[in-house]
Amino acid sequence: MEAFKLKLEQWAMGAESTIFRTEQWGRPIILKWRPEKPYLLKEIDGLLRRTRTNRECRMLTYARALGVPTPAVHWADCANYMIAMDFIEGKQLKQLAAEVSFSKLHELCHQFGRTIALMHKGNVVHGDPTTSNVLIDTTSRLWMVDFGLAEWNATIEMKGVDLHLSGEH
Amino acid sequence: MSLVCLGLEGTAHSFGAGVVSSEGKVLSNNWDMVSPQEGGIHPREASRHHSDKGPDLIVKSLTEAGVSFHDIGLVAFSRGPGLGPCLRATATMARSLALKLGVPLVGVNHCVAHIEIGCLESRFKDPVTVYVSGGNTQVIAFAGSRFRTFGETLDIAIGNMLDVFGRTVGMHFPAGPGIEREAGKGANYHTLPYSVKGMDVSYSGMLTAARKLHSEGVGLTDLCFSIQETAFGMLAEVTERAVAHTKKTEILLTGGVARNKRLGEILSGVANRHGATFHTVSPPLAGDQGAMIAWTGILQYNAGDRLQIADSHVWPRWRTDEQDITWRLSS
Repeated sequence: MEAFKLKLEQWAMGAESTIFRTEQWGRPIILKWRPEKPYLLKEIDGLLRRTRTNRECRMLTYARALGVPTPAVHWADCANYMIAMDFIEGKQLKQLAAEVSFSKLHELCHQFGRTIALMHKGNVVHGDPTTSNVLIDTTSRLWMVDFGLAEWNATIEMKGVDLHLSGEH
Repeated sequence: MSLVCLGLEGTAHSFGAGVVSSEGKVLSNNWDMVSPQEGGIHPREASRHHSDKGPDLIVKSLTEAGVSFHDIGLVAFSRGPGLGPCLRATATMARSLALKLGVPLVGVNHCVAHIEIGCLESRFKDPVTVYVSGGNTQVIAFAGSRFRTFGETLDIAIGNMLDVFGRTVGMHFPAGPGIEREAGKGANYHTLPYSVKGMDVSYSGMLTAARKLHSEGVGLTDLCFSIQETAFGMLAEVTERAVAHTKKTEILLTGGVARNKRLGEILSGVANRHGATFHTVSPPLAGDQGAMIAWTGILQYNAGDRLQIADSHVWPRWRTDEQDITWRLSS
């Protein structure tokens, strides 16, 4: 049997990862790789890469079981801080927000909110639910990605974001 | 015709008077900082310091700039955010001068001023700004006519964390330089809470943990080293998220803590990874001073901003993203 060789194509650059698009058995997949950051202390960098890769694998699957659309994890290579998952063809909500009509955006935001509610009902928090981490596929389905900061057994406090509102004027 | 603006800064421990021309030339920039023998900054003592030192500093800056009171065409002051008593002392000086000289008055957001003077120096057009000082820790970028805070501290500022820790181990205010010196001699990493929540950071847990380790006898050099690596690592992560999200290609480091060489090194690594250019604002323009207020005052004035004396009360909790940035093209 032939060991598979991956033809990597850099797809996107995240804050802490490099995303490659490749194919396995004729189907497109995404390889998410957390590279070393030479500017950070090795101990801290290593700990972050290890725990985030680990956590992301678990939480993508756990959230999926709650009914949250997330890309399925195909395999993970913890020694190289790499996860292979479904490729979702579509755009980030961030990009779409500028392109679609207000009523469409309204609908997407509702869908986004319902997805967050699904997670929170299952006591999971995403940890970084920005419009960069929401993908809308070609059939208008919404997907949550980037679970490196996700947590389970979330308390109410963790489910909220502090609003820094000024009360003095 | 060139407009000459006198900018008065007095949000916390420093009082500054700077003179800047509308061509963006810093003609003079003088400041004085309260440095208590022990303890931290008392708002009342700081405001007294500002009213004591203010007048002389203003005259000194005018003399150095080679202008007289009558050459001043605009007075700008730090309207917030900051310590109430300090803001009020500074605003009082600004109002009196504007009235006496019969020139317009403009109120400037302190955080916005840090960004604008940084852009003037670096010639950056649209950076992700990392603003770190004793009172602020923010990662800011321009979007939709405002400077948005993409990430910030959920509790204490990074400089405050350094100062309070420094005080615990017997350093004077500000403790940042002392901690940086000690950190340079340390090599062993002690785990401290690495606290990033989405785009935000938290430093209070790290402060508690560091003090505890110190009381347990962990050496100061290793502890300072660990504090710097952890605190700056957190900041790097949030900066990186902001850069990845906004796709901006410039990173600007400013504020008092920008003097720290290790922080600059880490953020320059972040910039390098994302193909962005990096600039650390030079110390005289990175700390709290009047030139940044004067320059931002000119930008606001040219965009039509005027502040009536009767409406010129200070805003101690004025957030960065509450100021309409009328002088920049909306993106």
